[in-house]
Amino acid sequence: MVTGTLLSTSFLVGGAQNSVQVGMDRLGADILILPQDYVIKGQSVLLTGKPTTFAFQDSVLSRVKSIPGIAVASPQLYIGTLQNQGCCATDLQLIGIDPENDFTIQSWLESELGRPLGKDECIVGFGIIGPVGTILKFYGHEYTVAGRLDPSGMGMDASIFIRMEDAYTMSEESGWKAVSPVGIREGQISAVLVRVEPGADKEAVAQKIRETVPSAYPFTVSHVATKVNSQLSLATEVLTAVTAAVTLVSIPFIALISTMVANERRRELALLRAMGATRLFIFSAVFSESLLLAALGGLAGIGISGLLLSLFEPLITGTLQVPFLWPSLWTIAGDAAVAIFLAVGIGGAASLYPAYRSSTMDPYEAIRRSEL
Amino acid sequence: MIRAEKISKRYQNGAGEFLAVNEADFTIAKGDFVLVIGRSGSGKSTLLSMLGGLTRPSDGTVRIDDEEIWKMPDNRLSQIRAEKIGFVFQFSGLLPTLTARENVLLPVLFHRRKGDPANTRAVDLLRSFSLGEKLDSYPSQLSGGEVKRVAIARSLMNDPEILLADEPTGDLDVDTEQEIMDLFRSVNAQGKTILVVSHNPDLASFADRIFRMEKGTLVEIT
Repeated sequence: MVTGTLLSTSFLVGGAQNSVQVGMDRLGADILILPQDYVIKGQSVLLTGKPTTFAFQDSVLSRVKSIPGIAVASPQLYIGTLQNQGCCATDLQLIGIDPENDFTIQSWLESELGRPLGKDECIVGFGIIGPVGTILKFYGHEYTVAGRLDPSGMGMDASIFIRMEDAYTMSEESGWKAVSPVGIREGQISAVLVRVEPGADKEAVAQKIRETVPSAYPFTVSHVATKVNSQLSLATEVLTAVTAAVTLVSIPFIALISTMVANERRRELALLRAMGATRLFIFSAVFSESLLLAALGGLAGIGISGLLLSLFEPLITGTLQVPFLWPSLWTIAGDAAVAIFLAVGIGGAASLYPAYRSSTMDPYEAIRRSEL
Repeated sequence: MIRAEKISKRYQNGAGEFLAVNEADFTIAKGDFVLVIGRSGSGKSTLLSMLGGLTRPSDGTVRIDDEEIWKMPDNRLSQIRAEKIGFVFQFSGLLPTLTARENVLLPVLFHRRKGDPANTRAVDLLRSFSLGEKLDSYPSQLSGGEVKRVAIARSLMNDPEILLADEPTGDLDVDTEQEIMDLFRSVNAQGKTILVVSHNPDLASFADRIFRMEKGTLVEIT
C-alpha cells in the first residue's frame, strides 16, 4: 500500500509536470497573453483542450510588440467547433495561427511537412482520428489533414491548427453555411504568444505587458506549472497524507506481524540454534526474510497501482482537470525503485526488534514454550 | 567427555523462585550410554539443555572435552553444538516443507565435515536407518517411527561425538520404542556418547548408567 500510494502520487504529479513541460516546450512561448475576461477559458484550452471561442475586443498585438524585451509575438485565434464533427464525437478546439510569426508548430512544419501550411490545410493534434489527406468540415468549411503532431498530454492533443486567414474565411462563411456562426471578425485574435529576448526577465516583461495593455492578462510558463500544481495540490496532499499515515501505521503493524511470525516459528529457529546456528545467523534469517517479503509486497503494490493508474488515468486526470502525459519509462522505474526502497526500509526497520528477539532467545525455552 | 560441576538452574515464576536443577555434579565418559529418568517437570530436560549449550546454568560449569562451554562466545558455542553435539527432541523437529533427505542435510548449513559429500552421507545415513525408500518423502508422508529415525539421522549428519535425546520415545508405541532404542544402541556401539532423558523406566535396560532426577536433584542409580 505504501508503494502503491507513493507511486500514484509521483505518477500523477510527474505525469502532469511532464505534460506541462512537453506542452510548454512545444508551445515554445515564454509568456502567454489572454484577454482579462477569458483567463480561465484560455488556460483550459491550453491545459485540457476544452473547446471555447473568445477574442480580444481591441487590438493588442501591435501594443505588445512595442514593449521592450519582446523578441517575437505571435497571435493565435481560438474557435470551439460545433459538436459531432465528421472526425470526432466531441467538439474540438480550432487554433488559428499566423504562419509568418508562429513558433508553436512552425518548426514541426519545417521538419515534418517541409513546407508552410497551405490554404485550407490543417495539422491535427495526436488525439484526433483520421489519416493524412482526410477532409474535415467545420462550420461548413472543409480542411485537409496535412499532418499529426506528437502527443503532448495537454490541450494541444485535442486541437486542430489552421491558418488564421482560413479561420477568418470560415467565420465569415459560417453565417450562411453553419447552423451557428463563429462570431469572430477579421483581425480579432484570442491570444498572443511571446518569446522574450535572450537575457530578458520574463516576469518583468509580463509586468510591463500588464501595465501597457490593461485588457490583457499575461502569464509565464512557470505560472502554468504553478496552476497545474495547485490543481493537483489537494490530490497530492491527500495521497501524501495517506502515504505518511500508511507508513506510520505499517511500521508497528509489520513489526507485530514479524513478531508473530517469529513466535510462530520459534521452535524451528530454536532447532536451528541446536544444530549450530549462531545468533547472527538467526538475526539475518529473520531480518532478510522480512526484507524479501517487504520487497515482494512493494512490487505487488507497484503492480496493482500501475494497473489501476493505467486503467483509470483518463478518469483521474479528467476529474482533476489537469493535463497528463505518461512519464518516461526511466522516471517510472526511478519512482518504483524509490517506492520499493521505502517499503524495504519500512520492512527492515519493523523487523529489527523481532529479529533481535529471535536471535537472543533461549533455545530450550523456545522449544519448551512451543510445546505447551 | 562431559563434565557437569554443580550446575543449577533457577527460574522465576509467579510463586517466586523455582529450582529446576539443583547442583547436579557428574561426569560422562566418551562412549557411555546414559539414561536419566524422572517424572515430567523433574528438571531432566533442563539438565540436558544445559549440557548441550542451549540453556545457561544459573550456577556451576559444564565442560565438554575440557572446554568450559558457558564461558565461550556465541560463535564458538554454536560451533561446538554444530560439530560435537547432536540433538533429538520429543517433537520431530523436521521442517514440513523439506524432504527427509533435505531435513537430514540441514546441519550442513552450520558445519561441513570432511569426508563424503554431504548428499552422499545423508543418503547413506537414511539407508542405514532403513529409510532408503523414503529419501524424497515429506514428513507428512512418514510414520511416527520413520519421522523419529529421520530426526536421529539428522542429529548424526555432522558425525557428532555426543547425542543428546529428550524423550525420544515419548510419543511412540512399544514396538517403535524398541526400534528407536535399538538404533541408539547401534549408534552407541560406534563409539558415540549418548544421553537420553525419559520418564519411562522401561528404557533402563538399554543404558550403561542410569540416573534418577527428582525435584531437580540428580542421583545415580547404577
